[in-house]
Amino acid sequence: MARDRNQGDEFSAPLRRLFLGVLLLVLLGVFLVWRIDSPRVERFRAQITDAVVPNFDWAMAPVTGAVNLLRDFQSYQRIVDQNRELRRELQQMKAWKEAASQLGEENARLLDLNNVRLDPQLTYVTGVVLADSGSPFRQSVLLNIGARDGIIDGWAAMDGIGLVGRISGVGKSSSRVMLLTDSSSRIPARIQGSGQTALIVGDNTVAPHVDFVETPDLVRPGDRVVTSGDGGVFPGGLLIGQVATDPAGRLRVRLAADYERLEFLRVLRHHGQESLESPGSLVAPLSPDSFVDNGDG
Amino acid sequence: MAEAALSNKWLMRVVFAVLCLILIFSQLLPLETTPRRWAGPDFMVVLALAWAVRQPDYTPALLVAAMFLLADFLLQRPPGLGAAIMVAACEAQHRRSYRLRDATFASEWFNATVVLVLITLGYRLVAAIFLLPLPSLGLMLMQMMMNVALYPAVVFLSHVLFGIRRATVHEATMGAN
Repeated sequence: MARDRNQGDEFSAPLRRLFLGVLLLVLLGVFLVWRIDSPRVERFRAQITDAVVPNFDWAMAPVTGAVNLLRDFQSYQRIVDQNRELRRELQQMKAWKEAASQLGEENARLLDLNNVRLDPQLTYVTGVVLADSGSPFRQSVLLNIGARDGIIDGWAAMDGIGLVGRISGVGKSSSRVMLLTDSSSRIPARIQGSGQTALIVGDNTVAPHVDFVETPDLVRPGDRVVTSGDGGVFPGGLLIGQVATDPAGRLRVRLAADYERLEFLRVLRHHGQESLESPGSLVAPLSPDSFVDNGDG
Repeated sequence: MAEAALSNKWLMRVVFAVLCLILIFSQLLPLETTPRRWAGPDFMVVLALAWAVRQPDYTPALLVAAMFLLADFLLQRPPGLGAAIMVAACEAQHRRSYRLRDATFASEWFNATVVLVLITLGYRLVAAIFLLPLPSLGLMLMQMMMNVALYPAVVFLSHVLFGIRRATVHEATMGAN
């Protein structure tokens, strides 16, 4: 058998080498095409992911569940301490709940008085996290909702509280959410308190940088950071987190969303902000007709 | 015997493919959604290198290319680059498998270390030339060292579980005839 192979080598070795060269060329060709025409190949990637990953779902859900159960089990050791702690927190929460419900009532009354209409366009679709990026260098998750559910690239994804990331890559029944922590994530934001705009720049750490702040001196740790809606891609006013400073003195944002457990994400439907296109025309009183005619022109 | 060896070869190729799919699958599990400060080893790379040097027949270039291309697409890496590097690395391992047949394990490990370092260097070089966003050097170095440290364990496990061993001296002399 070994002899056969050795004899075959005489003829097949150049052929094999040729085949190998062609294979390498094809692979490098794929890479080059990706580098030159990235959007098309990324769409192809989304299709592949769409075709492959949902098929694994039946296996992924139980394995993920089992591992999470094991992790929870470790925390059962401290269950007595935790219970006591929770009771104490519950006491405090009851007081807060009372205050919140009173404020809620008051707010509803005031809104009613002022006839405020909240933005009816911001509805959402909720999706389940299927998979993460699988690499320590990228931060993204895959949702089980896609173009079928009307998801469009660039929409915002939130968990119950804060912004998690934005849709980047949509397949038929799956879509990828680039998290705020990914090193290519940039989100325009406003820092409440001083009202300055900034850019939230992900850098593959738990707390993204706050960059391009005009006067950092005015920013205090603890200030809330919300999306500004600049650029029209993102709805404004979504909570991102709170400002914090790292040991090096740079501003970072402690994210409000719970990144430890991303299970369900809301994707906000957003159809862009309306822009005012015509310049304001002359505003004039109606009564003298001739004046109005002249003013309109 | 030849037929048995042939079917065994195809069986082990299927086993390799299944192992790769399981590894991709386990990496995709949504368990780590916070950024990590450390990078785990890349099991697929180590597995492919170990099998390539020990039993070249089980890791044909086409299979390696297909598996790593799939991994590139699913794991958000530049498609084709990782696959091309791994095909070249496995081919280098195939060529050396004859020479390393009688060598000690230490020299096999050293050889694997050199290949792993070259893979990391090659990836970073190409990424720098094509102006790709480079992942942090610390993480990549850590992953490389984890890969090197993992190599003996992967070799041991594939020896025990799948009987992947180097061809014996007896077979080697037959091959040299």
